Amino acid sequence: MALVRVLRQGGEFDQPTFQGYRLDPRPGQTVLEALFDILETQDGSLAFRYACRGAVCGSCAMHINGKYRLACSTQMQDLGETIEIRPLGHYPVIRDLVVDMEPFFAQLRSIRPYLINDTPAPEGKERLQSPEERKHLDEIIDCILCACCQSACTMTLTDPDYLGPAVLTKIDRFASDSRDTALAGRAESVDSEHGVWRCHGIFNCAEVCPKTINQPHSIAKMKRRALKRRILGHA
Amino acid sequence: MKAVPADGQALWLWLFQRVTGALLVIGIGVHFHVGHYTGLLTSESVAERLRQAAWLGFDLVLVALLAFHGINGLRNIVRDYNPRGSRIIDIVAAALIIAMVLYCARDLSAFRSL
Repeated sequence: MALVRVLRQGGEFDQPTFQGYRLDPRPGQTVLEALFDILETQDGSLAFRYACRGAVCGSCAMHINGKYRLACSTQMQDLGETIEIRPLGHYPVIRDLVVDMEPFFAQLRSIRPYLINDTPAPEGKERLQSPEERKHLDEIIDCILCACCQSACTMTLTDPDYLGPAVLTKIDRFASDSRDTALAGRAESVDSEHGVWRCHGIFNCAEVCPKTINQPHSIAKMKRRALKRRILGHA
Repeated sequence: MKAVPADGQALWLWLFQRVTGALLVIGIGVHFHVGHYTGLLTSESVAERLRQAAWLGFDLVLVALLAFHGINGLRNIVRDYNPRGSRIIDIVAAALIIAMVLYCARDLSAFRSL
């Protein structure tokens, strides 16, 4: 029998309060399935976010037993007898485990997270990329925007203007793309106290990433590009 | 493309923090060696060394590197907790660095006339 303690907020709760639920985890049961179990059999008022249930959409990111992770890919049997669940950190809580992700997505929109290429497209075919060029994107393209890294980062807590590891990694994803022609602009966009220079290489982001992306490596690459742009005049 | 306001000084402060850190590793090593492994350390021996322009210059540069690295490090911590604070933090940090270098320069010069 496991005790699942969920931090409840909003609705009938004036103050953040832990509410405990007891359940017998089935073999192979994930935390998300356990939350569904609680919702269906014990407390229909529990609020949490989910979509794909397969670690692809990033919707069910939450703080489980001291670590930010995806509820759908975390096994109950790996967590012991007491499981403590909180919402993502550093974002306004709407209710229970549901946070307002708008500040994160607003930052993401601000860096133009799409391919920019001002040159005319090749006649009758797509912009080609060699397997070697594509290899540069292998890891960073896996980001599912779950915001685990943003919540684990201590700098995003104290500086709400800081772009954060997920957004900076997204910039690196396009800056590293051989088809993108906005490299100088992207390097300029991170060259600020609230950009790459706020990162102190604490590595909390890489530690929690469910896709094992090395965000500090991406941030270091963007630091290098910002330095090259200022010192050599090109990124 | 400007996701965040452009900030000219952040890059240089970050770079100089690392450059001064690397130089301090060497400089403090030399300072430690001279102070502990080149004979008895007395006021006279220090005054004798500081009467040589090269050593006076070395110590002044070491103080300047130390002042920048230490005070800028503290400024970074204050800024981390107060990222939207006014530029007064930067002005105080710069004033402290200059004051520390001038204070130590005065003392080093005074030593020469012992």
